[in-house]
Amino acid sequence: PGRTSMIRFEEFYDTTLSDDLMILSYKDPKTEKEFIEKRMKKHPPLTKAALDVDNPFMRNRPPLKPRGGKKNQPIPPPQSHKTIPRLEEVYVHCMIKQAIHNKQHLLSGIMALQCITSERPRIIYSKTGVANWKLRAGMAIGCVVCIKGPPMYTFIDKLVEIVLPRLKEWHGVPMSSGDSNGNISMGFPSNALSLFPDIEGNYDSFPLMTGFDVTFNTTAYTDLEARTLLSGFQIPFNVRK
Amino acid sequence: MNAPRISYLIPSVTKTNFIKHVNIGKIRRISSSIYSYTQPERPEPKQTETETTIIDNYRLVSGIVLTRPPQILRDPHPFEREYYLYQQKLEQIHSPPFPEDFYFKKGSIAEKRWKEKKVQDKKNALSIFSRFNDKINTDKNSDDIEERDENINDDKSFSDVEEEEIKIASRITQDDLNNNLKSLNRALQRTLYLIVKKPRNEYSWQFPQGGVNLKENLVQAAARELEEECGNKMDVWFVGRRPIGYYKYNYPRDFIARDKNIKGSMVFFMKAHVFAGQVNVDQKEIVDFAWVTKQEMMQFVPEPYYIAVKDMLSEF
Repeated sequence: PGRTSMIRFEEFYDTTLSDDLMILSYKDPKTEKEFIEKRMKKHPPLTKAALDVDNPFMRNRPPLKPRGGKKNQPIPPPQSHKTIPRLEEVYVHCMIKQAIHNKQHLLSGIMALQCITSERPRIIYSKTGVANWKLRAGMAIGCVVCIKGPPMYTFIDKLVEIVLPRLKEWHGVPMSSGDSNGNISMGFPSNALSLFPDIEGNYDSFPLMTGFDVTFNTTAYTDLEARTLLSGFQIPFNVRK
Repeated sequence: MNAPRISYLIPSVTKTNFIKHVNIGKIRRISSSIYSYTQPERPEPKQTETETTIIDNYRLVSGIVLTRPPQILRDPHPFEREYYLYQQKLEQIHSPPFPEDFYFKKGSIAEKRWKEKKVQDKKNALSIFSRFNDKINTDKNSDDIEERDENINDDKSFSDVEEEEIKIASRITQDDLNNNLKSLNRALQRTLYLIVKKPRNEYSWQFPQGGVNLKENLVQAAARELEEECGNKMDVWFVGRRPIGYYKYNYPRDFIARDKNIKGSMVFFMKAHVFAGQVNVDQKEIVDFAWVTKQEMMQFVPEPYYIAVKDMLSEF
């Protein structure tokens, strides 16, 4: 049903973090204009036919789109208090190579993800085959779960308070991480799974400990803003390089 | 942002002098007699990096909004509380059956404890449907919804209840009860702002502020002024380099301006967070200080100042 309690991280975002992010991500009108123009430049120009307004064939029809199937970088809206970067969803994904020869190994990954995130993961089937690994197209090879809202904040809470401090030889999320559209990913080794309190409790139920990766989808339009947002949630970044 | 001008009481200067001052349009040189009747003139500052930036005859000043963000979750509204209670009951009722075989090994101590807890819960089952479940409250020994939720989560994550009873500190501290305005450990649910008292009679309470020198930017000036006024015993982090507020005011008639051309100041407020430490009063630049919430600030700070400043302060 609905929420069962106040969410600590969300309240923190609403009271302090969003105010600070508004200040940090503010662009003066000149800089904002330059940024939008830079993004618009990479968009392919409309064809002559699309620009032609007098064409009788285009009357009462939606305007023609530019040619080509290439996805362009989104153009941010004019900035306001509503466009402050915010965490939308988190994807936790793990690819289990051992599932190629024995499908039962998938179960361990699925149960682990379910325990961590409290949501049921869905199985991923391979699109193409790789002969070297004996992988055929359409084989169940991994699992992914998308979490939003309260479960997302509890997951990040667990990460930040318990798991990340206990990781060995981990220097922070790499600064190169980010798809330049405001989404940050990070990977975890297999020993990270055992650090979660949900799994630490009954370690023996999970025969196969796999590594997994976490993707934070934010409403930010640049890497820098996404990193600032996540740093606000106390996720450290490897600044050394 | 058009800040309201401060209108001060006109001091007892001869009428002719006053009219001379007002009627002449854009005066660049004001006769010294108007300014020097109360106090002797101040010495000229050094013409080096310590020279204050002046824009359009207004002194550029950098103010610091030093905040201590809320330390604990706010108290939920009674309706919120009821809603969360109701949703918890729904969750208990509609949750899928618990996979005991997965989580507990047969014959283990944890399984035994879990079975005992189930028996206990069955006894309290009827009270789930009652409006005021005092029984459940006293069993779990909690006042907070968050604590109760923690306990529910504890069951699911099977942590040992007997080991290490977590002691939760009280939400209302001793400084709250004593109303100690100098303490940072007060009003944990709210944001606290630092205001300082300048050594003058009127318009004494304000945010720490100081002039911006020619060769520094706003944040550097803010950091320097904060250290000069409040000491260096505080761990402070400035939020970016952009100001969050602006306030322009004219100097009162009886104020001695260093440079006669300067009409007043324009203050750009920089936001900062304080993590630890305390203000050190040196009695030279500041005489007193207080960490106050947005509402409490109204009692200290003059009204036009508060009106200009309130919109950049957080409601929480």
